[in-house]
Amino acid sequence: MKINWFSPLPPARTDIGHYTARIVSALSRRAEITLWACQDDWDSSLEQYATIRRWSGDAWTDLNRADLTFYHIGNNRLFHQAIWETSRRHPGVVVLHDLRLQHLFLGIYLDIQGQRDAYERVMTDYYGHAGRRAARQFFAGELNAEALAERWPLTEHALEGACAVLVHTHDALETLAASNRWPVGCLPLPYPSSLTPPLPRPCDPSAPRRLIVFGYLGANRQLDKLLQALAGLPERLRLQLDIYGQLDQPDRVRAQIRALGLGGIVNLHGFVSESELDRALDHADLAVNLRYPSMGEASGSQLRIWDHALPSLVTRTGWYATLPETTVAFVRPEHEVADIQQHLRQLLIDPEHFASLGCNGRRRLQAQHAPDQYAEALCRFIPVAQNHRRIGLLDPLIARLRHESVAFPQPFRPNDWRRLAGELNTLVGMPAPPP
Amino acid sequence: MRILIATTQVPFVRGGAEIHAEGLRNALCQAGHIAEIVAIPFKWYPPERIPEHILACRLLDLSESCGVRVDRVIGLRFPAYCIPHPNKVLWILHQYRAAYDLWDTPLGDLIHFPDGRQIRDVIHQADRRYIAEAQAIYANSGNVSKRLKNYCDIDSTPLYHPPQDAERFYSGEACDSLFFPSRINRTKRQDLVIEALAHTQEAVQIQFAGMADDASYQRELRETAQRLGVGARIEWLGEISEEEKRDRYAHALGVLYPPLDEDYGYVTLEAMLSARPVITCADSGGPLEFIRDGENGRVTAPTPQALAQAMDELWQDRARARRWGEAGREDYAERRISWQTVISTLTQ
Repeated sequence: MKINWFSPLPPARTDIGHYTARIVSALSRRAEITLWACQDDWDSSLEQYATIRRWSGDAWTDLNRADLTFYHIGNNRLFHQAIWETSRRHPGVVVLHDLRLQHLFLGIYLDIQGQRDAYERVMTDYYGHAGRRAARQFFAGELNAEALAERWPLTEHALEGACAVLVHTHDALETLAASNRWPVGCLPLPYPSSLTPPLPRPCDPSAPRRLIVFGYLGANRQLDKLLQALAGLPERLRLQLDIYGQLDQPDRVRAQIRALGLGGIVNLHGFVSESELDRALDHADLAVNLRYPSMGEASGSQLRIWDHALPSLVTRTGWYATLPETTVAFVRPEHEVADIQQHLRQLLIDPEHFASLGCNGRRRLQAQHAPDQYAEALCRFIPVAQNHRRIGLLDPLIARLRHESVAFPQPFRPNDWRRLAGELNTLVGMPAPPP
Repeated sequence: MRILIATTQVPFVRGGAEIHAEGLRNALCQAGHIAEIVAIPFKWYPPERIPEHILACRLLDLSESCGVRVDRVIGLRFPAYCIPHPNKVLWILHQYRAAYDLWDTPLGDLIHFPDGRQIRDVIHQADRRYIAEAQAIYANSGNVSKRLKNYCDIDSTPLYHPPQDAERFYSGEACDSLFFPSRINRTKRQDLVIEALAHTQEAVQIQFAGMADDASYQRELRETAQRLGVGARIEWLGEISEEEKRDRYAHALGVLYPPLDEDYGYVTLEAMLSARPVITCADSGGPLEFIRDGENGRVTAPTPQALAQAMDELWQDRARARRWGEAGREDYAERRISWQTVISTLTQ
């Protein structure tokens, strides 16, 4: 079995790259993998598990030599534009790392190309007049990207070339399965748990409790709410917040820290090495891993937090809302400041309770997110996707028929369509419609 | 019976498939049936056209014409053999080979397209589904039958037919030349023969007859011959008449026919009818159903060296060449390959 795998690769600053690094060893025991890189450099340690090739944009012959191609799609245009464009031309399994992909398409159509017309056309194609109106409201500054993503996710645009879809949450599974267009598989996001449990955290009652936020910190990470909560908390001097990763609007965050007088307890570290981040996670007392709105997918960051047996605050939304109360502490959407403050007070009073959340999270990680289980399930999905690959040809065939039908003086009668539909379905291997 | 022969026609291209369909029609008519050819124009590029052509075939209705029932459809070529009919019999010349045995070979084009795999999946699905609709499935040769089984798990029976004007082939005194009559096409491997010529020890000469499908390949062949210093030992006859072809067969020392995995190959049969030994290759497909190494010709490895050795042997021992040729003619006669057999099989 040969598999093509399009994904960002470490050291690209995206957890999807880390996800691939986590799974490739287990996958390589079951299939021959070619990692197609849409970037110039990659972690050479991956080469022990897979052939890595720079995607040139036209190596179709090589893609066709594999049994199936997997495309990993997330919201960052820099990492996913080339992958998405390839997926539209060479059908394969699209693995959605976000369900709402508005940010990806805003990036593709507007950031670089400035194609407002094209973006508006896409929004109209998928959502009709309402979509066009939303696009224009966005151009006019009346809607922000998060609001667009919430209501107009453009998920199907990301799946135009998909013969099957893999997701990591049951919400995403239900949403996509309802459209009945593709086989959809749902697998728990993989994360290899370290063999040795993390050391007990230092428990000097006089030392401040350390909070940590990390990752790509866009608007939906609710950093502003966290800072507001800290600023309004009388006990704030007993806390310290470390922020790792890339800030979407660094100047604005710095200004907010200054304005709220939090300079003494908030540290901005920027991007650091993986080992440094691991050390920070080992020494933290609580991770703040909020998403609102959620882009609808599971969080590799959350799994990493659990691997460190670290308790965490998450927003009660999307995949996070499905997590057991015994593994995370929830923050309600639109009530972030109050809920964060309540949890932080509780942390200072009862740190053992929070520590138990972290331990439970680690147990859940070990039970449900092992890469070997993931690789096994993914390989079982391959024949399902292969059987469905033909179905992608339905759309162009139907479009051609629709185009030709303008020559007919009258619309097709129902029986004509039934015969056509029957032939089309048979051709692509679907059951014929009922008589 | 009123019988329609469903085949595929690439406009302005005429080759063995067209002769095959016409031979079948003529034989059906001679046997007292009313027969006509329905030829579907076929364009295989870009590959997105292929599913459209399959669908177009599926939407045709050949069950009757002018209110009179069509008793049988005989499907020959992809995608024409997908046309539905309640009494369909297939006699498959070959499947769409770029989706099967030629997929990842220098001769396959489908693999180079972004959606090549997807189109291949549809072709496989169509073949498995629509070939299986037939009341009976025959293949043009054992090689085609084997591919149907290997790739689609479809059982079929090889059904041989004679080449055009089989009764008009004859044999004469052999001259100092080997004859290679075929379209000038990469699958026929004229290039291999020219390279072999450069390895011969004897002053072997070759006559190539046939039109070039691809002018660039013809140019390459001539350049290769010049580069290897064998240009003067090659005669390019171009397209020749049927009469001249029979005459060239009759007076050739032997016939060269080393195509890559040929479906059937009239050249083999025509050579046997002309009592000429055939040199072919172990990967040549159809000819291997007729040529037995060292009995009625040579079957060599597909290398210039091996082919050169076989050419030299034929050149050196004319008496043996004559014996092998005669043996080939006798083999052909013993097989009782005839249109009567074909017609009685396809109309039973």
